[in-house]
Amino acid sequence: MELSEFIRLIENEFQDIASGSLTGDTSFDQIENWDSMHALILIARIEEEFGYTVTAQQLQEANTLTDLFETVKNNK
Amino acid sequence: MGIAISTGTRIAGITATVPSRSVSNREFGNLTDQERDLMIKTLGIENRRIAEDGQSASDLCFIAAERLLDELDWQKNDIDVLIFVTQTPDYITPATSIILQDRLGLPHSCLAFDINLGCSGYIYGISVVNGLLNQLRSGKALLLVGDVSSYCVSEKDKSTAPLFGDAGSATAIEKTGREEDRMVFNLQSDGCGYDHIMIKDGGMRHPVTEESLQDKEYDKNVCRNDLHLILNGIDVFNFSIREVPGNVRTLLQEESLTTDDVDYFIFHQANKLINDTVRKKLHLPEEKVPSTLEEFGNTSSATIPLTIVNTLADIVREQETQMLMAGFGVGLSWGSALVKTDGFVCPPVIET
Repeated sequence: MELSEFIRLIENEFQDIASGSLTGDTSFDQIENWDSMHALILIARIEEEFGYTVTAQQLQEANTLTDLFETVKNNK
Repeated sequence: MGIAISTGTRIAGITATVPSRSVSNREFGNLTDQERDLMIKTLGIENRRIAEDGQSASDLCFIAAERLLDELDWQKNDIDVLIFVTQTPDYITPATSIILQDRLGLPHSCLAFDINLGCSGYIYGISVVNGLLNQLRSGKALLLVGDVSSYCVSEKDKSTAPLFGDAGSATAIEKTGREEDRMVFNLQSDGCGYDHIMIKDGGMRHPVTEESLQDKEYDKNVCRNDLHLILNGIDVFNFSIREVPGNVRTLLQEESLTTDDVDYFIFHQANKLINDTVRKKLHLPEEKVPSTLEEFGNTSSATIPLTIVNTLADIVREQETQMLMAGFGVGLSWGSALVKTDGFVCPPVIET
């Protein structure tokens, strides 16, 4: 999977995130209304797609969507 | 403890009690409509039953037990074992089960103690009861399991309050001595996650101080004090996904069964996101995995008996079934049980 597909996966998962609004440089605190519920849903979605479970710590350490994508790619 | 096999006991009946006060998550807290919709969709919880002030878990279980003994026509003098599984006892000390022994009018010959477990507690409770009954020549046991988690959560904490409802249950187990009455368990623990679901203050490690009562705001709509329940959603999700499917698969393999051989999978009702993910990882069809989340939420230790009574009563009363039950959560503690049922007493959910 490419970074662009990963970003589309996130945009498609959440109705309140406009499609095309995220880039690889976006950090989670830049996403409007992003909260723990979104984080939980994202982890479940990544688990379903990649079979890899992101930890709370990994999510916290990922500064940008690119960071998170690399974490998933390197661990799955 | 690895795979534990117990023979010679059977479930004779199950009852469940919920408070009549229903609270809707549509009215929860200071959320936007969008936040509320996402929360309800993700948790799968519309309504929760909340105990009245002064109504305890033992009150709910007492009603369930009285009804069960009545339906079974069991004599109180014949009860040898009373176990109460709860995280919300009446007092820190003494054990609530002993108070229940007297309140239910059970004889002094009845053994009684509490087990401090939550989400996994029903599975552990059955295993412990079977072990005790097998020390007797003949015997009858009452396993009371329930929690009033609503007392422990902050109404200003959206990471806990919208999840939990209150419920109590009673399960009657009797010694039959028959080899074919067979239950198999796979029970596990990992204390490294003790702080993923916990109440920090009020025990002896952190006795109550004035500071315990001070509300702290951790995030928007996440406000609580140190006597309230903490739940780290992501850690609990990851634990459940990591451990539960493997635990269940091991149990099935040990008995040379596949998921096709099981009629119903009764899982602890954590939340929809967790339960759906566990179900998908085990490739189980939805119709074999009943849920009561929408109506009752997460009722802690009571979810498994409540789900059986609420969704399967008509079936378990009449038919033989092969059930697989699995509980997982606070501790961290988890376990599964293969239980064959052969028609047991199961009246509809009692409201009080």
